[in-house]
Amino acid sequence: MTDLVGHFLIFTIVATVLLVVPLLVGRLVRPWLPTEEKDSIYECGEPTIGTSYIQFDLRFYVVALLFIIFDVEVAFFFPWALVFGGATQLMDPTLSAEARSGLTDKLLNLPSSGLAEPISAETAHTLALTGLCDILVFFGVLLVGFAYVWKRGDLDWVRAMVVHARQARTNSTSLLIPRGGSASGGPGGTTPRETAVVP
Amino acid sequence: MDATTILFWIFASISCAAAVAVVATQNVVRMAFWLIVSLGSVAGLYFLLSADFVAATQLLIYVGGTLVLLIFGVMLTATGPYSQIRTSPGEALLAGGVGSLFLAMIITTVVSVDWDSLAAIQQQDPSYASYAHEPGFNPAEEGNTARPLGLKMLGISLEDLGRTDGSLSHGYLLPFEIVSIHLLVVLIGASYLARAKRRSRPDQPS
Repeated sequence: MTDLVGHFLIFTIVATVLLVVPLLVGRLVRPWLPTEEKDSIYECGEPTIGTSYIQFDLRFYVVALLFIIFDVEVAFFFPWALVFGGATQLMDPTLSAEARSGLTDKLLNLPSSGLAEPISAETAHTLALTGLCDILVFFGVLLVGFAYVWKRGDLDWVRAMVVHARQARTNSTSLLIPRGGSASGGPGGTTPRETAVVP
Repeated sequence: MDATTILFWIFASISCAAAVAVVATQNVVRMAFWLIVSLGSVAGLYFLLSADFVAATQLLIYVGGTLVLLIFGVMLTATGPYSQIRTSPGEALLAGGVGSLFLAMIITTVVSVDWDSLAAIQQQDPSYASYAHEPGFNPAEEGNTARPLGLKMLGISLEDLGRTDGSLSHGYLLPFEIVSIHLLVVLIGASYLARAKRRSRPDQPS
């Protein structure tokens, strides 16, 4: 536990020092000659138009949500990966008895004192197979959701542009987006729904 | 009072102070920042309590994920640079009441557990005492929790190792799969809601 406290202290000190020192050096060294251009908001060299507090498209929300779902999923992958990795290592029948014992202790979270009987290659094979099926079901269920979101067109960004272009085409003669753009739009099923939305 | 206890108190104070700041701040973006501080300190508390997997998950999901969602919520709803959230006295009273009730529930729960006897039981456990203090080794009780958790998710319990009577404790194979069903429900429900909202405002430029 002292280990942990030491790590916390090291990280805190390093983070604080690395933050404060450049700021302090900058304050001592830099000249102070403000001009109107320097004080203006910098956005990739372009002059800013309007406020940045606009309402964003709701599609961002679905993407963020997808990120969180798979974030949670990855968190569940970590303990599984540790066990699966240990089991696949133990599957090798040519392992020496010493290595097998060490890997067993590692997998079962024991100190290397031979407390547990070494796991045989067959047992490890069963364990790895169980783990594989387990994670395939886990991942498969989530892929159903991913496929649903994909199929329903929640991840499409192009179609909005296509619909927009189609709308612009009916209104005026200017047409910048080629017709071929609709090839990457969603498959048939959802397009009528979306076009019904945009009058 | 050793260093761990001091650090625990520091993290606990930071997380409480940041939580109060979340409530007291009126700007949504600043609230999100204070929430990062609070949740990050809670992750520190988890680390100090030897729950390293929970702590890492806290950082990964709450600090990394939920805050992203919150920022997106701000982006989707913000109407001005200094949008303030003002609560009416009635709302503050109601929220305070609910919060106090929850606090009372937590306090009674914590107080009703006899922590000293629990620690004594753990010390008397022969399988724990035999190897717990070997140098260079962290048992699950001292922060090596990911591997036992992974085994438990495959339906294997490490507590069964020392047992001779042949009885097995429950694994979490089914709950592990149910988690993915939950995530599926969340994904489909939220995307449906987002779509319904988009449909209800057809004049919104996309």
